[in-house]
Amino acid sequence: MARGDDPEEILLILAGFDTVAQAIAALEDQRRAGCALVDAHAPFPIPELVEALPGKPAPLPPLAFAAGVLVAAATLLLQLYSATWGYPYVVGGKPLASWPAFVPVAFEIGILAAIGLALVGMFRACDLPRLHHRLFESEAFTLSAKGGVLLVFEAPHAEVEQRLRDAGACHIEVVRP
Amino acid sequence: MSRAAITPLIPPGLNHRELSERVAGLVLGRPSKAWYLVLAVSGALSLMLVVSVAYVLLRGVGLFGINIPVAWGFPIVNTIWWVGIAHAGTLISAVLLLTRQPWRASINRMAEAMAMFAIVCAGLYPLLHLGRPWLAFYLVPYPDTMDLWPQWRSPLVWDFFAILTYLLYTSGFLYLSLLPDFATLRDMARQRWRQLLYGLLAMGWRNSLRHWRHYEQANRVFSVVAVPVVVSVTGIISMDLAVSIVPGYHFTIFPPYFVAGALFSGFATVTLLAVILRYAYSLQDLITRRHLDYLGQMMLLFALVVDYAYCQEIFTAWYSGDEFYRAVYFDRWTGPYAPAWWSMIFCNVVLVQLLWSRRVRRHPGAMLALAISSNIGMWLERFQIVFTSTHAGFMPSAWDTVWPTRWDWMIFIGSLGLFVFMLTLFLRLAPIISMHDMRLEIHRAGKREAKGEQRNGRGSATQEGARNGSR
Repeated sequence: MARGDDPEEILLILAGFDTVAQAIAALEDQRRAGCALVDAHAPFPIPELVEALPGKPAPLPPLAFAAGVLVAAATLLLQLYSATWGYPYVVGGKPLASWPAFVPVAFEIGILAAIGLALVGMFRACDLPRLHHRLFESEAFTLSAKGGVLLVFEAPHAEVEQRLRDAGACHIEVVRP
Repeated sequence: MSRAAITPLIPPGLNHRELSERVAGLVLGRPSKAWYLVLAVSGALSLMLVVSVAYVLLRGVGLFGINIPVAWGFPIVNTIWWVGIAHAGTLISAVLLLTRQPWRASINRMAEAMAMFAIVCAGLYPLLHLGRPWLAFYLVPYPDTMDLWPQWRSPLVWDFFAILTYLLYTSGFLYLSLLPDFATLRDMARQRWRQLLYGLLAMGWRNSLRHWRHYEQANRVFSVVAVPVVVSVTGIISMDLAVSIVPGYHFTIFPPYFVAGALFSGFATVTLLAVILRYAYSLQDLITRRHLDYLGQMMLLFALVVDYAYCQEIFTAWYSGDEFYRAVYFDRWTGPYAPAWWSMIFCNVVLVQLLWSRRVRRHPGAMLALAISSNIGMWLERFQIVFTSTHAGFMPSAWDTVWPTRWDWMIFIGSLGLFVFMLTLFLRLAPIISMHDMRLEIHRAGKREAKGEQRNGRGSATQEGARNGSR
């Protein structure tokens, strides 16, 4: 606990709740009081809390789609090159630049690129792998790991703490950001 | 049907902590004697597989008895069969996620794991039947010293990319699904080595909602891509047969027909696993009879599409007026492989009609039997397509009745053993029910319950008490 002497100092307040319903109600309280949520920790993506998060997530789906299309086009070009210039030979009377036959491979590789970007992009956007984070050392985290919910606010702690206790927080921790 | 008779998908009163302890307990607790027995038997079969594959690599694929006329035999039959089994796993994970079907939550993990291991078994065969498997890298398009490039117009080359993509897709999707559950196991494990193992596997996942947001996006990308992947992979594999000129192969219906067949056998295997695992681990309240009911309906749906495809094939053979097409069919019905054909019809056309009955669909024993018969029926379908189409082809001098050799059988049964072996190991490594998916369903059930109470002024008889706390 790193509680400063100044009650107006902006600190990170971690509030643990036993039940999801309590956490959602507490969030509503804070929202009405004008205090925004910084982050929350829960063992599943609670829709009400996800909506309350500020900022926008990285645009993974459009990026994945773009990657898929680009890589599929590149694969088509590779096949075109290899079939017409690199190693041209006539098979079954089909033309050298037999584009319908090129579609399956280009499609599959495009899909690989899209899912590859989605997966790697997700890890990068979450800044994972990060095997240690100071949150793991806090008692509050074990609460969220066991099925409770941890809300994280960044605000002057004096006013926020009382409201959270009233809302039913069973554990409050204050740390420097 | 009164509301009171509808089985709840989530047992009333289940909370997050209970769920975590029950499901994680299957991984973190001690394994049963039955688990050791299954591991031992499947391990022995896997060993048999390894030995057989080594011998085949040493002596050559002539050991498979493949020769003119049936130049392909078991390897292609088993590739198609295994890939088919994998598809339902993908569909359950992905398409049911997109359509927000709540019954997906308790079965999607076992379906994904099944898909992963089925693909591994499927991928074995295309390598083996290459004739010179140590030159398999010729299929990769890289600039080499021989100036050699793959022959892009061949479905066999497409196969390589399709199965590779499907393998990477399935492993990516399975890992993504497992990530939050590994984090839960890391937090619940008491032994240091388990904490380290799951800590590494979880990559530092902290259940942060910001991360969950990105996670859901990645999940959505995987899910959206699932249907094109499933359709294209089996479509491409069916083209192995469809692009040839052999009468029993050369049907344009093959891609959708094989996809439907794949999904049929896939759902049958998921049902098989669901029935066995719910009994072995006492998960009857999480994998309910209602889940079996839905799985049975999916099995029936795809079986009917397959039955329609059979009718279309026969109709086309007659309508074409082509004596060779017609001859293949008469041979299928009366020739040396006729028992395979008629058994297939019995399993895939006659027995599946039992699935119309709700009582049958909700009966675990009946579903187990039907799942096994459906898988056998689908295997027989692939067998008779390959063998009957080629054994009596255009040239009568090449006609022969070919039967699989002992090496074919050893590798096939060995691959079944490998599948069970990997699944058994998986049961000890990762939770067989997706905890984070179940938690979301518990939360949604709680909200529906609360809304129902508000609207009616009273709770429903079956769903009251579904709380989302962790008391």
